Amino acid sequence: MRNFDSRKRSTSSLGWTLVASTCVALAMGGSIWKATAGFRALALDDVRQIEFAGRQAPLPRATLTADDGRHFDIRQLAGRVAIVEFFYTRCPTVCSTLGSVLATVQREYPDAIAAGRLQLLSISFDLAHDDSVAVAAYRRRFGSPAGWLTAIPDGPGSLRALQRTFGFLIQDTGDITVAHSSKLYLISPHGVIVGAFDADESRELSAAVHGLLRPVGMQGV
Amino acid sequence: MLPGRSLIIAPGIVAAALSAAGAFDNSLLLAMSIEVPALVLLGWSLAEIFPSPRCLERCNSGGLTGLLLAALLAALWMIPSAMDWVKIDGAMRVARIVSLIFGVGYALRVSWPLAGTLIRWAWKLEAAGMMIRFGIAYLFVERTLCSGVSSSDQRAAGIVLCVSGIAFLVGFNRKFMSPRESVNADGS
Repeated sequence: MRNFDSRKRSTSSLGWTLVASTCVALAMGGSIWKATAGFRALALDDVRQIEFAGRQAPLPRATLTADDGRHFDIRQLAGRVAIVEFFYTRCPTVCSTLGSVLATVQREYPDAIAAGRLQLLSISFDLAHDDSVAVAAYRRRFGSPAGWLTAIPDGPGSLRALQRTFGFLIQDTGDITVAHSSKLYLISPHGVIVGAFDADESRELSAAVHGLLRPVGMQGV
Repeated sequence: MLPGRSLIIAPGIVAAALSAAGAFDNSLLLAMSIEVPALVLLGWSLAEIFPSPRCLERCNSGGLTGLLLAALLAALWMIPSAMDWVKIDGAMRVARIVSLIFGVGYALRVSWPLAGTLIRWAWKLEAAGMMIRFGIAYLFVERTLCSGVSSSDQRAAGIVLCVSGIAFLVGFNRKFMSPRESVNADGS
C-alpha cells in the first residue's frame, strides 16, 4: 500500500514537472524568439529592421512639443509619409549628418511637402538642455521650416515610449558627448515604421520615400 | 552565516547594485566575466540559506524544470538585443537582475541535487556549448552587436567565453580523459 502511494505521488510529481517544464520552455522559447526576431538576428538594430520590414511597429502614444509651442501626438503623422530622426543640439558629429540628409530630402520633394504628403520631424532627446528655441535654431542651420518640424518629447514617459518603439539608445558618456543610435526612420501613411536608414543610405531612403509617395494604386508597380 | 558564504553574497549584492545603475552597460567583457557570475552565485548562495518551498519541488522532479529555466534564461541574457533592451527599459533591467539571481542561480542550486547523472551531464554539455557558441559570435562577427560596446571589448568577451566553455567542457569530462588506475588483486 505504501509502495502504491509512493508510486502515485511520484507519477503526480512527474506530471506536474512536465507541465511546468512545458510552460517554461514555451515562455522562454517565446522570449528568445521575440529577442531574435524569429531566430534571425542577434543585434537590436537588425531585430528592429526585421520588425519594421514586417510592418510590426506602429507609432507609439507619445506627446511632443513643437518648436512653435504646439503639443501634438506623434501618431498624428499618420496620413502622410514621414521621416523621423533623433538628435540633440549639442551633438558635435552625427546629428549634423542626419540633418543634412533631411535637408537633401526636403530639396528633392518640394511638391510632396507643399501638398502635405511628406513630413520631416526632428526630435531632440536631450530633455535637460534643449528647448523649443534651441531646436528651432538647430533646424535653421540646415533648411527652411517648410514641411520640417522640430520637437521635444513631453517628459521622460514620452521619450521612453519613443525609445521602445524606435529601438534607439541614449548613453551619456559623462562629458558633453552623448552616444546614441543614429538612424533616419521612415513612417508610412498608415502610421507604421517601415524602415531605418543610416546617414550614408540617403539614396536608399530617397527611393523608399519615392515608393511610398506614389499613388496608392501604383504602389508595388 | 559562514564567512565563506558572505564572501559570495556581498560581491553579488554589489554587482546587483552596479548592474541596476548601468555600470556594466558598456562592457560585454565585464558583464560576462563579473556581473553574470556574481549574480548567479548570489542566487546560488541564497538557495543555501532559503531552501525552495515544497510546492515548487513537486514541479521540479529530477531538477528538470529548474535546470531548463536556468539554461534558457542564461541564453536569453546573452543575446545582444536583449542586453540592449535592458538599456532602454528600466523594467527589463530589474527583470534581468532578478531572473539571473533566482531564475538561474537559485534554480540551479535547488535543482542540481535532484538531477540524475544523465541530466547533469546534458546540462553541463549545453552550458559549455552555449558559452562557446556565443563566444564565437562575439569573436567573429565583424560589427559590434551591442550598442555602446567597443569591438575590442566584444572580442575580449568572445575570447573569455570560448576559453571558459572549453575549460568547462574539459573540466567536467576529465574523468573520462584520465588513464584508468590498475586494480590490485586485493581490490585496491
